[in-house]
Amino acid sequence: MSIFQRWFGKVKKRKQSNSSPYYIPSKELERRDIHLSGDLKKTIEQILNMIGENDDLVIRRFHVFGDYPAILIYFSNIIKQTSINEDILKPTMYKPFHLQGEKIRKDQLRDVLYNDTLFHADAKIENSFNKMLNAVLRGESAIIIDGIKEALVIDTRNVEARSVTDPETERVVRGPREGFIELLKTNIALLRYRLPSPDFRVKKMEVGRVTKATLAVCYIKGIANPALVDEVIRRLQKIDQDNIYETGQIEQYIQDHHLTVFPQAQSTERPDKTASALMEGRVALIIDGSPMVLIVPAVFSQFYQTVDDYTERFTSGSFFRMIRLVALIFSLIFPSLYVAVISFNPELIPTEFAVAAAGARAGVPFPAVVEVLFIEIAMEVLREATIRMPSIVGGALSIVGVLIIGEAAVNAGFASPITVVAIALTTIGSFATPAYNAALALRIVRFPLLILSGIFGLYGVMIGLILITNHLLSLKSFGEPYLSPLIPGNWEGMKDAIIRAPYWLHTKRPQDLYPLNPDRVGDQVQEKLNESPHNPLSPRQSEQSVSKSKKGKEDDR
Amino acid sequence: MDNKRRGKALKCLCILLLITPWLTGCWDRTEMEERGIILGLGIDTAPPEAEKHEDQITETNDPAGFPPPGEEMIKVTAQVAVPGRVPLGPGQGGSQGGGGGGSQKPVWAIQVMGHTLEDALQNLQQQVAQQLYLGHLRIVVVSEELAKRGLKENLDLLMRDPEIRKSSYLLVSRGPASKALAVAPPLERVPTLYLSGLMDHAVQTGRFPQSFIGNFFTAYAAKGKEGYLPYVQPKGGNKPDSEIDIEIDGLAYFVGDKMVGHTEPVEVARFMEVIGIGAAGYSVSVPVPGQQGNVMIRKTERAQKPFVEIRRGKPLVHVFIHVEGELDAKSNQQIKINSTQTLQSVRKGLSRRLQRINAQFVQDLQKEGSDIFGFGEQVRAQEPEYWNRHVRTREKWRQVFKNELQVKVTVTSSIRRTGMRER
Amino acid sequence: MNRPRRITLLQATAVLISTVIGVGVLALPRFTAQSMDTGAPLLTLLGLGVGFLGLILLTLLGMRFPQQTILEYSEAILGKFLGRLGTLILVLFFALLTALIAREFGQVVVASVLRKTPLEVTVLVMLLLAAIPSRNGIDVFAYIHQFYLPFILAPALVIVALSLKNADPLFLQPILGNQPAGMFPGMLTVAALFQGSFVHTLIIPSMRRPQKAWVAALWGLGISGALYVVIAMATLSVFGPELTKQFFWPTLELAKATSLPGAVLERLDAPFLILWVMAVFTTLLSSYYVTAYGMSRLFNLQDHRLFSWFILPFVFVLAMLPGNIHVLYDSIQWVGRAGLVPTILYPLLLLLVAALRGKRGASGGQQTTGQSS
Repeated sequence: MSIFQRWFGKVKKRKQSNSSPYYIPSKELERRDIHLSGDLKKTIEQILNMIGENDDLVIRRFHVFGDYPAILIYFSNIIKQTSINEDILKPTMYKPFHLQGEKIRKDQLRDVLYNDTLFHADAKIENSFNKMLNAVLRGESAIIIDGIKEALVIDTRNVEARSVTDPETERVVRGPREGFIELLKTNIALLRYRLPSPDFRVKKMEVGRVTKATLAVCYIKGIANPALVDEVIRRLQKIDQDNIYETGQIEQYIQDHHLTVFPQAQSTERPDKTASALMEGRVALIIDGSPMVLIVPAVFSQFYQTVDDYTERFTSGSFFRMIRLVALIFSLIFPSLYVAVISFNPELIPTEFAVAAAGARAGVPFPAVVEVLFIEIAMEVLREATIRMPSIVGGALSIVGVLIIGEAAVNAGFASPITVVAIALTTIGSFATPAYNAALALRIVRFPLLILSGIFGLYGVMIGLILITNHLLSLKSFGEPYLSPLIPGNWEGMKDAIIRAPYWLHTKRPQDLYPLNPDRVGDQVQEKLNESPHNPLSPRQSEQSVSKSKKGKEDDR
Repeated sequence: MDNKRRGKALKCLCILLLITPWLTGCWDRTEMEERGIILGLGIDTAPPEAEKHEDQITETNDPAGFPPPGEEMIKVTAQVAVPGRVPLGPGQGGSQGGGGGGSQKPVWAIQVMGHTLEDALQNLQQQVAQQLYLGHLRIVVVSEELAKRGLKENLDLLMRDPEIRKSSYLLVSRGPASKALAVAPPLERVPTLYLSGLMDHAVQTGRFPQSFIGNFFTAYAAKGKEGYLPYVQPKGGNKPDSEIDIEIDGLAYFVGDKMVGHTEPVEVARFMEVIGIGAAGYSVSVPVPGQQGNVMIRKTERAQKPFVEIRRGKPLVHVFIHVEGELDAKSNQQIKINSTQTLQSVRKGLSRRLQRINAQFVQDLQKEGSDIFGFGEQVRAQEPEYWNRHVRTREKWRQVFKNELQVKVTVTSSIRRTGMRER
Repeated sequence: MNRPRRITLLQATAVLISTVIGVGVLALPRFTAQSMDTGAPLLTLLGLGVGFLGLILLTLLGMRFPQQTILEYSEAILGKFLGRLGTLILVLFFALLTALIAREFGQVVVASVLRKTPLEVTVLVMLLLAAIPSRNGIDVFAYIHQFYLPFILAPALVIVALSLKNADPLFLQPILGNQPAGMFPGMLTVAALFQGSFVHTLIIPSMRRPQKAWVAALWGLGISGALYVVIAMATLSVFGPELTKQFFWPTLELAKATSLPGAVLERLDAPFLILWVMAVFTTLLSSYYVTAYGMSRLFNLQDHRLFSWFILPFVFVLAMLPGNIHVLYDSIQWVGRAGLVPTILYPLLLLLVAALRGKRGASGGQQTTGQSS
């Protein structure tokens, strides 16, 4: 290390000067805007003052064109070394070919460097010390030349990123295998690649006082309602927290209702999903450093839709969407329904089953509510435990948990086998909800429902469901009613709510987003579909066409 | 701002106050294993000396109680399901449940005395640890003796209790009801389920009109109609170890809450014809004109249309019945049913025969004064003026039915099929 | 007042239907059979006519003053004092109505499903259920009604359809009934069941097109009235007039007497009653909302939220006043009939005076605001 230091003439000095122990550089920067002075020595001192305690800071002294003393500042681990060497140091040290022999004055130096010398696209000229420093902190490199009051800031950032892979949380059977990654530019690239339209807009802003994460607001101009975009940006600007690095945090700032378990924004890892949400007129928020993209506004129906609904035929898409909806409702109410029927209204089940259930419960010392509550909590513990486990261990543990603990609990007289079956079904049903955050909400809501059913039986279940429904009905996401398009009735949206109608029926975009351009398909889609098709392979015609083509070939000869 | 906060605190307090009473909740929770699930009830008359042994459990021994002492008592046999003895699923059934019998009986039959059904159940509760539960009551069997004495006190509980399903069966048994409940068929694990299955299938195959408790109540409450119940007869069981079998042995007809008589099983078919129940199950034998022997005609469908007119101040009910049948069997091989004429004459014979026996059946019941056909309702609905002027009450209609009402039965029929044989 | 005009015709209709269909359906066949035995369906129809008269008056008023509710234009028509008095009477009546609905349903639940649960608890639960969402604005109010509508109509229709198997058309004849003596009071009792439709006055000023309010009124009462008639017919034809008179809640007995083909559920009475919680909830919500809103008008407050908690204890005490179920049903009948004065005669008076004095509200006409973006 020390050899390197000497070799590059690296200046590294522990900062002991002016400040008290409470000197905080970011506060200092916030307090005032410092201009570059042009005095190299002073500037170096300023830099060292601010960030000199970092061991990865590199201040490289060199001479521009052999004459002018200058420094190059960067953080050694966040840059691309070859770029520094080849694109910056080499051209600035040597005079460019066509200027050989000419004398370059100091006042020309900036322009010559910028226009003729630097082999780098992303370079800009800054005269503010603050901006220059912020850029360096992000991984750019700055060249400061003695006597010039401006710095050249060149983007040399290089952060290791994983490759674009199949999104872990949202798998599909049929559809693209790409998922977003942590790098913003890759994510925007993935979107641009799907939306090569002049209307696609990406607006960048910074969030987080310290983290200063770049946030991209994406929407499609001409589809997304401008009032919606303005409102999203207005809400984003109000965020004032020091550490923001994930869209989940942003969601909690921009949502409409804070005291609810239901998510009001959709988060996804899938570029195709994001693109189609944009095409509906929604707004996507991408933050640098997280693969999770936030889509607002989000309504309840989005949480049980999957990409497969759209890629498969509309019959299977609709059917399996309904199955998912049934599973969702089932997993929500089944445990409480079970408790209500077993301990309040056993007359509802067939007599044989009632007698058998009574027999199965005979040895269990707890009331059905407590029993179900126990097993439900055990199940949640198991789930929570396996979710963060290494996947190799996780599989084994879940088998151990479900099979062995369940079996042992029954044998020990701790729970009745029917309860175990009921809870197992519920748990499996709850995995059918594709959106993880919505599934979480429903998992939480299940418990109050269970307790209500323990107090009032079926009546309690109904009371609980009415409370939940009323709550859902009173929710809004950016003004869009949460249960839309079902409530308030919206015919166009309904075609894609509970069923997934064939594409040629989706003539309009969902009206509840008030899109600027409501038309989705061309005017003549129906007519073109109804045109009688050509059947080149149907037996008689194909003979003709084959013979025709043969004839053609012979003619060619 | 401060105001708002105070409002919030108040709100929280209100919510807390409202939630607190819930904590004492679970008033109605009774776990499955804490319920004594009564599957069937048998009600018999009790020997007169039973009263002397009675313990003071309900108010019925009190002079001012209900019903006043001195009325005859009843003996109630309750079948309580024994949890765990009725396993679900096909596998374990044979080894544990139905087949074995003996000590592994799936139900527990307890007998108890009481003045009314309610009283008896109270007494029963005193003997059983679990809370008695009537939600799965499928069958109530009443002995003929008791039915003739009147069912009033017993019916009231069955109507009033919200647990009791309206689709359970009320049966009248020849002989003791406890014996009818003790049927132990090898086909079903739980005897009462066998009984209700027996009735269900009888209704499905057209061997009996639908007769749930609810149907009986409706007829019992209506002004121009009397109730009827299935009449069953337990068979066998004379030796201690032999199995008891049961058969539907006709129809018990009532006047008010008192049974007045019962029909033969074959007469159930006539009854179903007169009231026009579509599903038909019984056969009728018709002589073949010009040939030796009879053919059996199995009825497949019926339709009926009653028509009321007032003739000389007296009600006259025309009942038009149409029966469709299928030739089922011949009494001997000599009979030839191979022409339309023969079939026609058989058909005419069928119509004539049915007309005669049905008219006879109606007359028989008129003699008994039991209008199970609901002709009174027909009169009330079709001739309200006559009804309002002359009848109005139940009692009056009984008189009219017995003495004044004329019923004309007209039967037409058709035979569509003769089975798989040509001749 | 500046209200957002967001409520569609469908929503306005849904509000009317789900408000009118409520706990009254459970006892309706008994009321009508007692008055007119087999003439019950006809009586229901007649009662519907009377109820409809009141609603039409209200709708005409609402279309005349498309910016205001009856609680506001009554002051413009009758003057401040008399208008306030009218509002006071209306608020008191609706508080009483709310209490009786909650009490009646609480009684049903306690009598049939939760037999050991204290009546106070079931009544309080119902009132709480109505109080919580009554804090929302009128658009959420309309959403709630719209959402529950299918869940209210479906169970009733399913029960009716399944009961057809046991139905005997004989019990529907003669359609005038054998003893049509109690026709007039019976008609008023049935008409009282339609009083919930008064909530229409709150809806009209927020409708997208107030001129179409009469369409909503027509469909709303038409559908709910048809359901009433169908239920009266089904119950009567299954049980006959004599038995119907004996049941407290014949419709519930109807559910008990029917069973689902396929036998997934052995019995339908408990599920039906539980699903009926939704119907009762929407009815209760409407009358509760009217009460809370009326209170806020009475005290000249813009926001009715405060009152949605404030009136809860009072309504609860009112609900617990009747001693037993017979007192309850007597008071329901009397309150219902007396309530026809504020819900039918009062609008009639207002309409006449408004016509005489030539008063007319500012038309809030066709301005469809769309999204306020």
